[in-house]
Amino acid sequence: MGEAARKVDTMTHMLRDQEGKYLTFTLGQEEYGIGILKVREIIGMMEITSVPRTPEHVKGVINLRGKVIPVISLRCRFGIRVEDFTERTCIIVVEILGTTGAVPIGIIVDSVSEVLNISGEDIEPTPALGSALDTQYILGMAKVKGKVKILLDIDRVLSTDEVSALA
Amino acid sequence: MIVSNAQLTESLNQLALQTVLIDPEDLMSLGAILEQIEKIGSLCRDADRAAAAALGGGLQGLVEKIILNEIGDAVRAVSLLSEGVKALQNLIERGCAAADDSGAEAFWKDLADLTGIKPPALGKAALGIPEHRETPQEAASGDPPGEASCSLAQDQDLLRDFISEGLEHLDTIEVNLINLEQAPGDQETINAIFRPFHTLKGVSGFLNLQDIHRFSHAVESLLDDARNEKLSIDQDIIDFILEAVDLLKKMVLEVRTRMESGRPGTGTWDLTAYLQQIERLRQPPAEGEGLRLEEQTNAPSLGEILTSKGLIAPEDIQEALKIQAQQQSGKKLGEILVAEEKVRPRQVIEALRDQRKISGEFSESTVKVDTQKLDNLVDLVGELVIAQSLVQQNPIVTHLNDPKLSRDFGQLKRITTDLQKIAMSLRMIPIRQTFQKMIRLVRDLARKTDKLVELQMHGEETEIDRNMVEALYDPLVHMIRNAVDHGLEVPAGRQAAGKAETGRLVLQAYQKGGNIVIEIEDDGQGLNREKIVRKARERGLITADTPLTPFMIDNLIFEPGFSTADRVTDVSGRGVGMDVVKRAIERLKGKVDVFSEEGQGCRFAIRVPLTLAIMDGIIVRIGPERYIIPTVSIKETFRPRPADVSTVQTRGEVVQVRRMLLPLVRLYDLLGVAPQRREPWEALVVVVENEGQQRCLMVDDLVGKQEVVIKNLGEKFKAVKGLAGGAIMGDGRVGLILDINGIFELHQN
Repeated sequence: MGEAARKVDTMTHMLRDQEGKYLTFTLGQEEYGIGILKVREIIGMMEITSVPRTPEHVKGVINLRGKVIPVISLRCRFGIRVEDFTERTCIIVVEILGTTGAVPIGIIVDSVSEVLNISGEDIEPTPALGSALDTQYILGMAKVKGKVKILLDIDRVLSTDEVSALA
Repeated sequence: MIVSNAQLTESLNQLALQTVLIDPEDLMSLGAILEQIEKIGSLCRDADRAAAAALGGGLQGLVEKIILNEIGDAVRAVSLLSEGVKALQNLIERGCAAADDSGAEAFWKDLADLTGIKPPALGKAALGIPEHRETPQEAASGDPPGEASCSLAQDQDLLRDFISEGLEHLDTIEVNLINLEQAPGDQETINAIFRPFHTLKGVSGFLNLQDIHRFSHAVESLLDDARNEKLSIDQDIIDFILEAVDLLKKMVLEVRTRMESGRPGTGTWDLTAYLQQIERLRQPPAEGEGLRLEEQTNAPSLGEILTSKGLIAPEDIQEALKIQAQQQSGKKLGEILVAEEKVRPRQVIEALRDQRKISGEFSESTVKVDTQKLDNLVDLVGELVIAQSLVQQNPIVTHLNDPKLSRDFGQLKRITTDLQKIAMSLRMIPIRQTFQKMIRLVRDLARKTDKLVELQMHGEETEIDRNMVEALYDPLVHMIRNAVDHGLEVPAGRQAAGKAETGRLVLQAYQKGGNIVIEIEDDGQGLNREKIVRKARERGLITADTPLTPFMIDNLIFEPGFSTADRVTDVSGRGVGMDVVKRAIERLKGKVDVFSEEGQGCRFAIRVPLTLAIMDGIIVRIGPERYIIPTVSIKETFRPRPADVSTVQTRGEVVQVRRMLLPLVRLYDLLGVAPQRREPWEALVVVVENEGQQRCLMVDDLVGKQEVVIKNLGEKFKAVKGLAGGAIMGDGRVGLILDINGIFELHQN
C-alpha cells in the first residue's frame, strides 16, 4: 500500500468513527450538528440572569430545575450577527467534560431541526478555510440530502479554559 | 505427619461445622471460617500437601470475596463454600491416594465461574499429588491466590472503598482503644478492636497492599493473644496500638495520594521496628502474672436467650455447658448444642443476633448515599416549593375562590414544607464523630503535659451540616489544646488551689434557634486579666485609658498575635493564637465568645449556623438586575444627603456615616449594569463590613429579605470575582449572591 493510500485509509477510518446520530440545529442560514450523546435536553427560551465581568458570548445563568447552569450564545461565540430571540429560539443543554466530570451547559440556537443518522461516507474532513476561520472545533462536514451540516466538537467549542481566560 | 493428620482432621471437622452454620451476612463467623481455613492451609503446607493447600487457598479467596460482598449470588457462594470444604475433606481423608479428584475439580471450576479465582499454577496432574512446595506455600501464607489479587490500577473502585472504609475502621479502633483503656478487661471492646483489624488485614491482603496487610496482621495477632487471654492489656500495649493505628492511617492515606496522583503502586514502609515491638509485647510477662482479664459482658448469655425463647430447656444448657467444660476444646456453646441436636442452627444464629442487638452492636441501620444524589433531591424539592407557589399565585387560580381548592392547596403546602425539611435534614450528621476524635487528642495532650484530665461530652447527637463538621474540626482542636495546656493546672497546682487533682473538660453541643452552639469548658485557672491587659497595652491594642469591661478584656485574646503563655510548649503557644480560631469561625459565618472566671475556669462558646448551604440575604436591585447581599455583612442602609458625599482627588468618593468617612463603591460600575439612579442621594447606600473594613455599596433599591439556598455557579465562573454563588429566587429565576470580600478587592483595583 502506498503512502498516500495509507493516509486516505486512516482518514476514512477517522471519519468513520464520527458516524452516528446527530442533533441538528440552525444558526442563521447555516446548519450545525452535535453528537446526540452530548445532548441532555432541549428547553425553550427562558429568562437569563446575566453574570457581570464575563465575555460577550456568556449570556448568564439559568435555573434548570434547581441547578444553576451557564448559558452561552453560539451566534456570539462564532461571531455571527446576533438577532433578537424568536419563539423558535431554544436552549440545548449539553454535557461537556469539565475538570470534575460532566458539566451541563446551555447553548442558545436559532432553532432545533432534527436528529439525523449520518454515515461515515457522508462525512468529509474540514477543508482549510484560511487563517480567518478557526476550524479546530469542527469535527467534519456532513452532506445530507444535498445540504451541508457542520459537525461540532462541542467540548472544544465550550472548553472551560477559554471562558476563564477571558473572564 | 501423622500428628498433623489428626490435627488436620480436627480442624476440618470444625470448619465443616462452621460452614453449616454460616450466613453470608454474618461477618464474625465468616472471619472465624477464614481463620480456620488459614490454619488448615498452613497445616497442609507443613504436611506437604500441595493440592489441599491450594484448595485451601481457593477457599480463602472465596470467603474473602463473600466477606467483601463481591459475589452477587450469595446463596450459591455459600453452597460452593460447603462443596469446597467437602472436597477438602475428601482430599485429606483419602490422603495422597487420590490421583483424580472430581470433587476438587468441580469446585475449582465453579469457583472460577463465580469469582474468577483460578487454581494456582500447579498443573492439572499435580492437583491430587503433593509436589511443588513453593506454590501452596504462597497460597497458604495468608495471601490470596495470584489471580485474585489485583493491581492498584485495575481496581480503583475497590481501592476507593477500601480507603474510605479503612479510615473509618481506624477511627472506630481508636475510639474503642480509649474505651479499653478505661476497662482493660472488657472482652467486647477487645473484640470490637479485633474485628476491624481483621477486616483491614483481609481486604488489604486481597488488594495486594503488602505492607498494610503484613502490619495489620501482626497487630491482629497481638490482639488475638489479648482476646485469648494470653496477654493482658496494659498501658504499653494501648500506646503501641494507638501508634500502630496512626501508622496504618498514614499508610492508607499514602495509598490514596498515590491513587489520586495516578501513580499506582505502593510505597515501602520500614516496619521492622514495629514488628519487633509486637514480638516483644507478645512475650508473656517474665515474672508475676499480669492482671487477669475478667470477662464482663452486659449482654445476656446465649443460653439465657435460647431458654427465654422457649427453644430449649434450661437442663440442656447445663448439660451442654458441662460438655464444654469437659472437652475443653474451646468450642462455643452454640456449636455444642447444634452437635447434640438440641437446637437448629438457624435458631442459634437468631439468638446470637439478638444477643448482639442487646449488647448494642450493629444497632444503627443506615444507608450510604452519594452526596450528589442528595444535592439533586434538595434541588428538586426547592423547585417543587417554587412551582407550587407559582401555581398558587397564578391570577386564574386566585380568582377561583373555591374552598375545596384552597383546602387542597393547604394540604399540598404542608406536604412540600415537610418534604423540604426532611430533604435538608438529610445533609445533617451528628457531631459525635468530631467529638470522638477529641477523646484521643485530650488523652495524648494530658500525657504530654502530665496532667490528669477527665473529658465529659454532652449532646454528641446534635446534628449539623456535614461540611460544617469538617470545617469545625481544626478550631476545636486548637481550643482543646489551649484548654488542656494553658487552662488546666498540673495536679499539684490543682491540689494547692483546693480542687480535685483531675481536671474537668466539658465539651458540649446544642441547638439554639437556627444556630449550633458548641461549648468547651474547663475548670482550670481561667484567664489572667491583668496579664491580658498588660500584654494588650504592650502591643498597642488598647491605650491606657480605654474603658474595659471584664468581658471585653477576656475577648482581647482573639486579637492577632496574642498569647499569654509564658513559655512556648510543644502543645501550644507558638504565637498562633485564638485569632486563628476566631477567623476560622467567622469564615463559617459564626461567632466565638469567651467567658472566664479567674481560678474557676473558662468557657468558650462557638456559635455557628446549622448549615453553610442556607444564607440570610438582603435582595437589592440595580437597574434590571437583582443581587443578594449576605445579611451578616450588612451594618446599615440609608440614603445620604448630598452634603454627606465628597470626592477625594476627584476620583475616590467617600460618604460620611456618623462622623466616619467610608469609601463609596458604585456597584453598577463594578458589575457593568445600567443603573436607574446615578446620584448617591437619589439611590441608597448599604454599609457593609468585611474583615474590619467598612464600605458603602450604592444600589438602586432594597427589594426584600430572603433565606436562600446557596448554589455553586460551577467551574465556568470560578474566575469571576465578586460573586459568591447563585440562588433560586421566589419566581424561579437565578439571583447572584455578592461576595463582599471580592467586591472590596475589585474596588481596590
